[in-house]
Amino acid sequence: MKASVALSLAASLTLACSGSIEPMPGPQAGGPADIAGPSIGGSGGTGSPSKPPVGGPGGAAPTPSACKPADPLPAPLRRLTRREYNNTIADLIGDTSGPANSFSPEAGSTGFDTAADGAALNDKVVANYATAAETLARSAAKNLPALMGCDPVAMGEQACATQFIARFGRRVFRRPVSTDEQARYEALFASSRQLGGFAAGIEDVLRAFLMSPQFLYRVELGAGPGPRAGLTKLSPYEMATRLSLFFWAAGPDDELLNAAQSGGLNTVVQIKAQAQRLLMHEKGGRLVRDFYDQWLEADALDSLFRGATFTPTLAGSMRQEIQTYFDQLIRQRGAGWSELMTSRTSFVNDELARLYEIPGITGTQFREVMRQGDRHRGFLTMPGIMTLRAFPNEGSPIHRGKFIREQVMCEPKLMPLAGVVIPKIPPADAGKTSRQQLEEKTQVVEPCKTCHTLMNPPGFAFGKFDQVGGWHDVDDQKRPIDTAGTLSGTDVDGSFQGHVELIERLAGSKQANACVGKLWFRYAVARMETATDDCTMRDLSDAFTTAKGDVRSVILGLATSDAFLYR
Amino acid sequence: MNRMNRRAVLRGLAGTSIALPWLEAMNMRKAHAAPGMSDTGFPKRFIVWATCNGFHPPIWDPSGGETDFVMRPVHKALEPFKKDLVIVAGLNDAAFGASHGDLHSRGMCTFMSGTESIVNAAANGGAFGGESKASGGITLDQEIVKRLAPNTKFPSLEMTFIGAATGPYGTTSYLDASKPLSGSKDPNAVFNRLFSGGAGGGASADPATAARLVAERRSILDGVGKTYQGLLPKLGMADRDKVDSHLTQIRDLEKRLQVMQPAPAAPAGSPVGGATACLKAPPASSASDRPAQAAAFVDLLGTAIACDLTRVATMQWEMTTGNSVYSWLGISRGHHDMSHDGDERSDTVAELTKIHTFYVEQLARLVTRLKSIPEGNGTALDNTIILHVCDLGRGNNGHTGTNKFHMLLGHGGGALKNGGRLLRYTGDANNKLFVSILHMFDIPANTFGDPSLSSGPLARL
Repeated sequence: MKASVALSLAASLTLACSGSIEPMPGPQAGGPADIAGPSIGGSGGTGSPSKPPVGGPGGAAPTPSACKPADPLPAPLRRLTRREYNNTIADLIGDTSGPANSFSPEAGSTGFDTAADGAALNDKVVANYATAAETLARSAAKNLPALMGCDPVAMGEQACATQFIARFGRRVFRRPVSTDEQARYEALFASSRQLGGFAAGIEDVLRAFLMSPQFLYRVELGAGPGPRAGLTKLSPYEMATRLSLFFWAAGPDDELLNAAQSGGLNTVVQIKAQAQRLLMHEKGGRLVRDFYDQWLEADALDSLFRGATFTPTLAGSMRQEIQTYFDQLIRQRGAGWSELMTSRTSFVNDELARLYEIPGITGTQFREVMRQGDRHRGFLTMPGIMTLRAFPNEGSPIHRGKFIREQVMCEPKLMPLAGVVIPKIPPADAGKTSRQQLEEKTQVVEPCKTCHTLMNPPGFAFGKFDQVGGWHDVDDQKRPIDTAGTLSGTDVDGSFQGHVELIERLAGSKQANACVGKLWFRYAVARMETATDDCTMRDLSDAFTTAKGDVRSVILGLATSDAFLYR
Repeated sequence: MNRMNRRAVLRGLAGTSIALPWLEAMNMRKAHAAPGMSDTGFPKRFIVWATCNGFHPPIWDPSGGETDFVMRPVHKALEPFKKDLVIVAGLNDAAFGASHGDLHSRGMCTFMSGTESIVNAAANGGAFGGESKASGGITLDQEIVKRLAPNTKFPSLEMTFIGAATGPYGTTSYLDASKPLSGSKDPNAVFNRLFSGGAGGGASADPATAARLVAERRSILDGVGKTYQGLLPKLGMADRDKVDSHLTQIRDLEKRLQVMQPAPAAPAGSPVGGATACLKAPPASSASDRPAQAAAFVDLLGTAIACDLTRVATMQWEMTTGNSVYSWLGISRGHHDMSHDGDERSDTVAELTKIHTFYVEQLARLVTRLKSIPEGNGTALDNTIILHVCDLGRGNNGHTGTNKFHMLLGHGGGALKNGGRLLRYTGDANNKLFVSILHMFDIPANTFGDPSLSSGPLARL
């Protein structure tokens, strides 16, 4: 009961917003360089006055007062996440071993690691940083020419070290090294060189770099007041860091730092141009891959038990398919929600092809395929998704339905109420199918009925997929599997014959569209949305529902929203 | 800075047996021993042994009276240690009752802190009134660390066997409200942290090399500390706290380097300790061999105690709502799924018995290990309290915070002399048990956790 009240409240909140934004420009022909985006929760930006609102998609009169501008990012100083640490180290010294994997995991309140303020800082955290810095510096110092970019013999040891501290330090600190800092690190170099020689001097500088707050923390001191009360401008280097950590989960490259240095990150237009570059850069794939990986909890594939055929390699392939699908469709093809839900395209290797029953594919290399027939649409039917929501020996309609309601539709969590005893569900037998057994135990009487009537039907729709996503036309007793049902409590209620019709309904759902916007907001802004974000939420929702809405435009819109531009 | 000074004072005290006048006024159990030390001069240790997804009373409840109780099959592995065991049955998690929202995160966020949990109602409202997002206060283990400030290489050790080791569903130990301490999930990483020549250690075969490495580390840490110091004045209050605590940890790390050379400290007069006894590597293990991994965790814990690397530890075996499949026990359903089944399901009861038997076997392994470490006329177990505790009371037939099942193993350096007892209570707050445990560690206290929930120690213990 309570659940449905909360549901309708959530729906009315989303729909009640009657303000307006700039209309979404139509799809551009020129490819990624022309990605256009709406202004998301913006208040004018730092240098590029936005056009006055000209009416929303429904043609309603503009009512700007209904729009409360979004709050800026939470101000607290954040440490690099393990992902950011690993990527940044890979960029800086080429070590791709994932040195932060053994650090304490993040505990995020949004479901995404970006919100993680890190576990409490204790001796272990700091000792981990110290140990990693020592190990990384020792191995990097074994190949000084690659690390330093200058030759101490040709250039002179002192000059080469000085240049290294300035140039390499700029990438470590994500801003220029100050005169004081330069002097301090040169002094460290000098004393260590005296004890252990040139390489030891460089090694110790690197060690100290990797333990410094400028490296481990996103230090944002601000650069004066923003365009309205409560907003503080970021310095260009701080902006560069936000952008690169969002798009690449790593520190900025030289081009971005140069832009910060030369006044190239002062206006929304400039910031957007850089954002576009970062998104379309090879490293921009990290954003899309990691976002969807975390949203779908695909990392759990690595630790599931699904019988002997479900090997670690297969788990890895399933995860790879999910990540590749979203990366390719969103970044390369500008797909929107509807296409992501219904596309027949996917990317498979030999073992996935066997699950899909696509003939003629050999080898572990991934390639693009068209999934013909009536079995597969979009990502929901992917083996990885089906495997994640299953029991060890069969698919789980309840977990699948729960996933659709909670994660695809952003509804509140559905869990048994206090004191509820879970009944034993008898196995399917000659008299009753497993669906009938489940329905009898969960959909007939309270306290189970209310929630299960919401979540069982969309779960039953996927009844022909087993615990690793394999397809079955009939059950163990050779009876047909009933996958028809009725979706209720959403904006796309109605009956469906099987999962394809359900997916088509969800593909047209405003609620599901809005959910994607919410999730991207949580990831980018690193906190849950609040009532003050209603307008941003509505803008995001609209951006998706606008004809052929392009997920890239929402990502870019978020990166140029007030919440992102200011602290 | 006050905290630092206090710690320094306490650290100094921990190493001495001189009773200062003001200590006598602290209502200590043994006025002649330093706080946290046994009567015979050995350090007292506290180990939290946490399991999750609730107990299942039909499996656990022993029959019989206080001293002639009959242990259940699930406890078989502990039978030889009955004299070292006190079962405390029937307490309520009082803070669970005082908290709101989802039952799993609620139990996990209250069961060791005795303090109402912090609820994230806005974010995940729905049918459950929100999830708890953190403990509302310090947990018992960290209170002991804070009050005794032991002069060991690591203030405490947190390890997690399976499931999440972080977040409201996966954290047992908290430094303070909303300050979770996540557990290490990889025994090999724990081993490296405890014993390697990394920045947290200083061990090396060659004393001269070890000394040079330590000196180098200390000098770098000193310089790094200055960069944190330099940042402080530029930050707002909240950020300053964060950077300040990072700085404190760096300073502590420097001090540990100092303390630890040239070899790991051992309790004065102890026949154990020193490099050979301490640096015994546990068997290598991987996540694909869970039983071996469990054994490795237990052995590491025993070794850390033997070498006096830490005196407080938390071993968390599962997360609440953890749905791991204990396939190596021949089980094919997830733990959490089963914890929602009713008592009448004998198939589930059998599977849960297997899981808990597995945990108890690991506990027996730890007890055996501690008993093998001689300390004075006794063993390390005599100077240890292991608290076996669970996130919930009943798991099946509804998740509750009532009628909880605790077990104490060991003797706390003489503070818990009489083992072999089954003590039944009817709903006393678990906070009382925690006060009693503080007393066992010579920590004066009349309340622990939320003082409005209960006061005083647990009677008869």
